[in-house]
Amino acid sequence: MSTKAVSVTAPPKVLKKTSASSVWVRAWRSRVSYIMLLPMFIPFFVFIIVPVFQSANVSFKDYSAVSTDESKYIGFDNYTELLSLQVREQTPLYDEESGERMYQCGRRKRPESEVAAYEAEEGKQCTVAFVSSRDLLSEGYREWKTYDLFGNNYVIGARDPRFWTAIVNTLYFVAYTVVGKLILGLLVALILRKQSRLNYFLRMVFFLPSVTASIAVTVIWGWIFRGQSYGLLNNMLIENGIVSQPISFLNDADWTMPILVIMAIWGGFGYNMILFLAGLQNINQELYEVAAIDGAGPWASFRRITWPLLRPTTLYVVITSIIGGFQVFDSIYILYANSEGLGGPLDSGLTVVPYLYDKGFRLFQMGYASAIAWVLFIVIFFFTLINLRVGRVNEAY
Amino acid sequence: MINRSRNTILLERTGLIFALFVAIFTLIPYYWMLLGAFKTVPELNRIPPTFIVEKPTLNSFYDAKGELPPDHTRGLFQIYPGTEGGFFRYLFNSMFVSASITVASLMIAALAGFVLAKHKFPGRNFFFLMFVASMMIPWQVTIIPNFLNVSDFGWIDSYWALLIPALPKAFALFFLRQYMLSLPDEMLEAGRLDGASEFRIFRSLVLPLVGPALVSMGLFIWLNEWNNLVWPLIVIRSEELRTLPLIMTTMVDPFSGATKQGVAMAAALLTSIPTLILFIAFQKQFIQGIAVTSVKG
Repeated sequence: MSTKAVSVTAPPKVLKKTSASSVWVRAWRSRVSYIMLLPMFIPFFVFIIVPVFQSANVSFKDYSAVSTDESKYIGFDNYTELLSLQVREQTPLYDEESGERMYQCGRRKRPESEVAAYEAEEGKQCTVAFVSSRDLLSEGYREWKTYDLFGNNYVIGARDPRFWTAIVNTLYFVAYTVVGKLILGLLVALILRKQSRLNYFLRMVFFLPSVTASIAVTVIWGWIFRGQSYGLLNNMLIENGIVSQPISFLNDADWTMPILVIMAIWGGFGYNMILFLAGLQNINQELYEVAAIDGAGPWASFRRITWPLLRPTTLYVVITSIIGGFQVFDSIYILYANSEGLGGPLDSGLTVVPYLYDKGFRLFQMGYASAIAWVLFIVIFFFTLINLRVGRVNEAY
Repeated sequence: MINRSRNTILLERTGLIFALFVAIFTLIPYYWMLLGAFKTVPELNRIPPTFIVEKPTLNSFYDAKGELPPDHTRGLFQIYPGTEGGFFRYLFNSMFVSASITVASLMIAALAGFVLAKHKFPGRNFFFLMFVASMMIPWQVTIIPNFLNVSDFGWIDSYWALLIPALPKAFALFFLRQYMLSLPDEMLEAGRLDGASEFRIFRSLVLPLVGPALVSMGLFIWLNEWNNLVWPLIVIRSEELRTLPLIMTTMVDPFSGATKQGVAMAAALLTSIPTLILFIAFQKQFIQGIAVTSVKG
């Protein structure tokens, strides 16, 4: 029994002697290794490896609840539908008969000759009317945004304007949360750098949001921001005379992103603090002593020692925050999902992953949702590569 | 010299005051939750709000005497009459699912990690690279085919759907394998010479030595599973199988009254207590887990 076990497992030393034997012989001798690998490998193969290929496959199909042939390949149609953008300059509208320039007065369009009378009568300003964006954009495109650039008006059309809204919202979310979490995390790490009871306690407090159930915490925030006067924030604002009527934070499109950003910073800066504290520990204290002897103040020693030596940590923090930011979902779903979708008021909280969920699991456009997933993957992969690169630099440090 | 040290002291004081402000900002939601969970309905409605509960009550959890207004909800443990056990059932579901996934995924990852760290066999590097490469794939890519597959397996709306697809955790394998690399080969060799099988060596020699890594990784997995919203949202339909995150999605309704706030806070409290207890018991492992994974990963 005992000798069998030894020979079967082919420990390293034995293996070297028999390395001349063929791969299959060595594989057979290592069968115990493969058996021990299987419990992990089988579910890994079924639920990760295979789905990756299936996902790529489905993203080239018209796989949805309403499609007539789910197995039909449509090439890159899902991707072009997602990513197509068109920019057109808006041209002024002229009256077909008289050739007069048209103006938008209230809800109606009027020719130039009537504008002065209308403005005098109603006391309202008329604006130049443009050819409707439907006529400017190619077929299949809808107006996403209009821009006024150097006096020229442009209309941006997209085949899927909601996707571009989701992209812009995601970028906004990522930009603010990355910067906010970075600054706050670094500040508290610098403040709590020294070992003391109070500092240890405060570190635990700041780390708390990163480990307590984020789902539960979102519910609490939801009640803090709620629109009625008994919501904590409204209550405080009314109490201090800042507003007289409660603000309905959760139903106001302008408030959606600020609320999501505040929640994300609150929930994530403690994690960054821990990473920065670990980074600070690796900095040689003698550097500071030498700097102090040379007469460097706190700002100088931060700028010349701490900041450059923390660079690897900072980059890691930034990249992981970016990747995490692109994947935001839970807080948006909990605060804003309803029967009509999960983007919040006027899609103001629609980011990429909620949009994927909306397409895939509410509208059951699985092929299209898979294409969204791959676009997201490419973005995340780009940042992962930077991270790997940076990781290599760190080792050389 | 004196001047500079004065500046430094001033800076430290300002920093501390700033940190205390941030601490208040951090703790407000928790405090608001505690208040809300134990307030009576009239107190929940009061403007300005009270910051010390005047008459603490458990009505938001269980309203034995029917003191809450009849047109409002009752206590948290009473509002799910359609489910046997009510809220207890949801607590159990979350506990059962997170704990099972944590234990099972740790075991298979540790076993595979051991093989990849300490055995030499054809294809070892290939397997290892495949596991590591898979860590770059975000869950959004695999979630749609996984949903379709799980539907084909007939697992929709069952514990299987919650448990089995969550088992393979490549990051756990990677982390444990890195940890196991440092185990001395001589010790394993001694075990082999004593006639122990590889499974025996794994169980009796390797597992006890990687205990700290298992705890760190286990906490990490448990926390993620406890918070997992998307997957149960997709695969669970019936009320009895809902987990706590699914219950939480029903707790923010912009138009519901203040009574529901008490119940929502009670639910939030019960959802966060298990993780709080774990955090307080294992602070070091939590933090080491983060520091180590980030430095190596």
